[in-house]
Amino acid sequence: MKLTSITKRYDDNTVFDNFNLTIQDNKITCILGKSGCGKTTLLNIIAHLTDYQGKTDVENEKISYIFQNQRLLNNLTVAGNLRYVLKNCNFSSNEIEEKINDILKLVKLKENKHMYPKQLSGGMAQRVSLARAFVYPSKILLMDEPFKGLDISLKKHIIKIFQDLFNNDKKTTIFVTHDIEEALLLADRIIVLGDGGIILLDKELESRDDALISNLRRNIYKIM
Amino acid sequence: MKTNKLYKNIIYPVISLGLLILIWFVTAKVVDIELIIPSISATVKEFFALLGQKQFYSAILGTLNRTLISFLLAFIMAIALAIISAFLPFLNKLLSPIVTVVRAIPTMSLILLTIIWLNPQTSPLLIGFVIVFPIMYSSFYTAIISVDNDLIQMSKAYNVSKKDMVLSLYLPNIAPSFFDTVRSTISLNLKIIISAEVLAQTKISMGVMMQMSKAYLETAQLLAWTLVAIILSYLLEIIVYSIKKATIRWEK
Ligand SMILES: Nc1ncnc2c1ncn2[C@@H]1O[C@H](COP(=O)(O)OP(=O)(O)OP(=O)(O)O)[C@@H](O)[C@H]1O
Ligand SMILES: [Mg+2]
Repeated sequence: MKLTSITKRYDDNTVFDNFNLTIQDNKITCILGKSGCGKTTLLNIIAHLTDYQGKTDVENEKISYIFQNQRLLNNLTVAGNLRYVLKNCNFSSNEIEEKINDILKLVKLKENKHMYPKQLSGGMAQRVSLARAFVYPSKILLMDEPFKGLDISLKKHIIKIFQDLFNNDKKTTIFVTHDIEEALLLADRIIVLGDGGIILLDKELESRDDALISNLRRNIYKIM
Repeated sequence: MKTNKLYKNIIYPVISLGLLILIWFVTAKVVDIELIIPSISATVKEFFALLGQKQFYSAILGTLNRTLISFLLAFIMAIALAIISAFLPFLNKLLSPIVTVVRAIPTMSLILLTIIWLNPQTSPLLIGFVIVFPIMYSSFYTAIISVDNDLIQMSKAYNVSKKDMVLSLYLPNIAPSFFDTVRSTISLNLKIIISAEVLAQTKISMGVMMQMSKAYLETAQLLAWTLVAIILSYLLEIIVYSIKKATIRWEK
């Protein structure tokens, strides 16, 4: 995925000024950076949810987006929420039902297929939003702090489910987080963003070697 | 859960109704003047006497007819304008001061004014309309624009079609407050129409029947008519409520 000369302003606040970035396909790229530096804005540019100047080569691509809050429709069941994003994808209704059953098995919500979001726990609801992202036939996945606000054991569980889903269907993933440990755990590449779209650090993780990780951790803490 | 519902839907209403009847009974006994506080038995007798009269049914039909016509007119206009306003913000800016002013007009001056302007048969229609339209318009407009922006954004990210967004996102999110508004305004409309009929002396109407009971000092009959009005407004609300329950299944 390639972003070329992206400029984005809110009135007189320039969030990105002639910003360029190339992202490897089918890998997880983590974006770190302090609050307000433009991480969410960057995802919204890629998902065409906001206007901007410049070019991306994904303007006609299908994109999955996992938000920090689950954003489920309360009036639709778990299956209904998945169907909602699949309806516009040229699948037959048999195919849709099959996909829904398969993905619900992966996120361990087969039994909850016909429940409404208000009947789910927070962790279950977040699993539905993961399922929605992976059932959707996209090549690109955007994640905006999807594990924030979960308690530690639940977070571990959800991250495990994310890893299963990702290994099963490797999408080009941009993963925004505040949590350096999450980034070190999941990323193939870590980018630290500064104000005005300046890239403060850009490092690929070829291996999960302990020394390499702790060195990188120290570097990131120094910048942030 | 089950017993909770039983309490809420049956036991509490029965107790409060019983309390009301008890107060009525005691007051009637203490005052002991049928003209001022008719006894329960006299009122019930009048109520059944009314059921035997032809006039009774035509008066109810007349009033219901007026209620439904003015309600439907206000409803259709409120919905249409609320939808248009949601897309054209300037229309709402234009309408909301008018709505605020109209809502502030005392009901009685409105009734008296329209009686001067229109004839007794049509003025209740206008009054009902003017009272309920602003309430419905503001409530529908608020419901439409308060559909969760996060969900709209999510739908756009996943490229959901406009049609599916309207059917699965907009309509269901608007529906609960929509039904609640319809439910409260339809019974309000009935009450307003009856008041207007009393003052306008509308032919073939519940209002005029009440006015006559009062003129002949038939207090028990007046109370019996009041009972009829209560039952009607309750029935209207129940009808709307059942439609809501049948339509909205996800709010447990
Ligand atoms: N709709 C908007 N209107 C005006 N300014 C905005 C809008 N959205 C974001 N901004 C501004 O753009 C900048 C980047 O915001 P953004 O939400 O992308 O930051 P972020 O890196 O995601 O922060 P956080 O880590 O707190 O989520 C901020 O200065 C913010 O105030
Ligand atoms: Mg953000």
